Amino acid sequence: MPSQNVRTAINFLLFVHFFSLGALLVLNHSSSELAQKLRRIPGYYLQVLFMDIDFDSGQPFRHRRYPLPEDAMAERDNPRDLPRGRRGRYHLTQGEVYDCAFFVEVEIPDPIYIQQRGGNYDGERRVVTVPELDINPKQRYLRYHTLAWEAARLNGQEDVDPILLGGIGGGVLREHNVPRNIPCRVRVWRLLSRSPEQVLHPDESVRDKWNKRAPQPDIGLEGTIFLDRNGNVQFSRSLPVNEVAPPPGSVAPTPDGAETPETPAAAPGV
Amino acid sequence: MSAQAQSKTPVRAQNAKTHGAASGSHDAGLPVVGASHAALGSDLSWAEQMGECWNRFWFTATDPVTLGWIRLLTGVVALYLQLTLAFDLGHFFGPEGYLPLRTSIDWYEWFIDTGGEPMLKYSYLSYLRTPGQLAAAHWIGMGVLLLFTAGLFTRVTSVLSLIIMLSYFHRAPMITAQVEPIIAMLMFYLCLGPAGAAVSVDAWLRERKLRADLRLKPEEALAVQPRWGATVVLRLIQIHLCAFYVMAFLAKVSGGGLGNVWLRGEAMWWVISEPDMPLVDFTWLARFPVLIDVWTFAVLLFEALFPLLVWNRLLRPIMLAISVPMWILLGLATGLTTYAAVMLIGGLAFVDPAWLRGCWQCCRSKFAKAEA
Repeated sequence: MPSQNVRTAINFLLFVHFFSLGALLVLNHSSSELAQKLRRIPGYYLQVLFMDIDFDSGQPFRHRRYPLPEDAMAERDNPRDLPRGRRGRYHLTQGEVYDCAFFVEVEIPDPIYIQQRGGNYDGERRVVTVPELDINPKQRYLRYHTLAWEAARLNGQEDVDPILLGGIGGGVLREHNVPRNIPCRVRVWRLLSRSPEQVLHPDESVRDKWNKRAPQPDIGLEGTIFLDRNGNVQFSRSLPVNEVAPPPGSVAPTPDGAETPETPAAAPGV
Repeated sequence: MSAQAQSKTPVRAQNAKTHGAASGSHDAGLPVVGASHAALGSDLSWAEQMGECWNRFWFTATDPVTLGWIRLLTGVVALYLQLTLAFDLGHFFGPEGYLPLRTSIDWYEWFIDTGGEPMLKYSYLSYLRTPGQLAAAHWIGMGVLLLFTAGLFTRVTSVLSLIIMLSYFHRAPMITAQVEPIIAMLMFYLCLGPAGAAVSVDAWLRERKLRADLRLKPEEALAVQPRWGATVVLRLIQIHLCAFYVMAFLAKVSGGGLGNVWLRGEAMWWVISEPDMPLVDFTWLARFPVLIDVWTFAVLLFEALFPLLVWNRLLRPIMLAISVPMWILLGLATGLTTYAAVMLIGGLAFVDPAWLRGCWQCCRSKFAKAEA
């Protein structure tokens, strides 16, 4: 056993450490000013060690909470029902609207087509998706998956800059050498989980887990992105000219002429 | 025999009794002091007894083999994380990628109140400008992690490994998921204790030198040197892990505005029915809703009971045994295999050091046979 002096020093450090952790875990979502001050004082130390993620919400210490439309509705209907830990990573799921897979799609001019046209863009496009489904191993996929999820979450608000959506879109444009000043459509869509009824449904299209059930207008994440003459990414929530997102519940013609709803109802519980 | 060897060591096989005594009786996987303390305790005041208990809990020396195993396995997971990241360095950290420095700064400014001091300054990746610099730094970092995993120069490489991992996490926290905070926690604690005192190249080199100094025969075993530093670190891991379970459980039962799927028994369905993440398709359970209920409540029950029962000597092996299939199944169902792996690695802090020492000796003897 170490000497008394060493034990005293270690005990003091243990107290500081557990106080910091306790303040983070218990007070991270508290609205009390005292609680906020209590958790801010040791906050930097935990932040540097990346131990500032509370296991309740999965949110980092000192994060700014931007309520999403669903949050706002929950708060309006029942303020006490707005829990500390919604959409937390360590929930694994709460069966909520954001507990599903998100994908960022960027429609870029087909590079081969551009080359054939001598560098002129004439509307021919291809779609780049982040994450691509065939990325292996799963740990790599998970990073793109998390990024798309974060982009969707952060961009659910009109008054929040589309930081990550712009970052991903700009990266895709640069990666594919898309010429400057060509507006490209970027959007986020989600892949809903299926209910047990859908999995057991006799109709194969209902059972299909890759059925996009998209676009998802309630998230409203789409817009136009382009690289300006300086190579900076410019994002606008308006769509490129002559491209307007179909309204919720609208119908779109399928190749065989039939009409199918663009946005089927969300699965129960989601 | 050198003076250093005389002062530091443990010598012959019979000294192995020391090890047996140190790890024979256990409190949460760690040794407790003997009867003398207990007898003494009866004459002490309540406060003094509490102090004794506190000192016993935190400072009784224990076999560092547990820490060695945790270091080895944590290092393997960290290496795997970095190896998978090597494919996407340009995408995530390159100036032309998805998350150039400007995007990360904007994200910090919008999302986290850093008090005007972005965490990016704590990441050396923020100062690398070209893909070549990034790649070089990444592979050097992998080398350091490899040394840490093997347990070479562990005191230095453990700190460097933590800095390396934190640099990646701080540079792009938006691509971190469940595993990274747990890895950061384990690696930080490993820096504080004698993580290289066992199951490491450092320990092997030290033992070889001692054997040469003491002129021991190969069949003569060296006694284990218990360390109080190992106890402190293991206790930190144990308590942090229990805090994780408590918070994860509370988060699940606290519910959401749309209703609580965990208390309704349907949460595991929404986990296994995610279209892109599961490694194994469990959606056939749609035909057996009772099994989904059972799985959901089993996860809840486990997370509620683990932090309570794992401190009980009799129930500890049961909780640890249950944790293995639970995390394996969760890993397969969620696709979060590294997360499941680090949770199991963290659980090693509760495992009896004598058992882990036996595993290590078994590995060594098999290796020696293979070498022969």
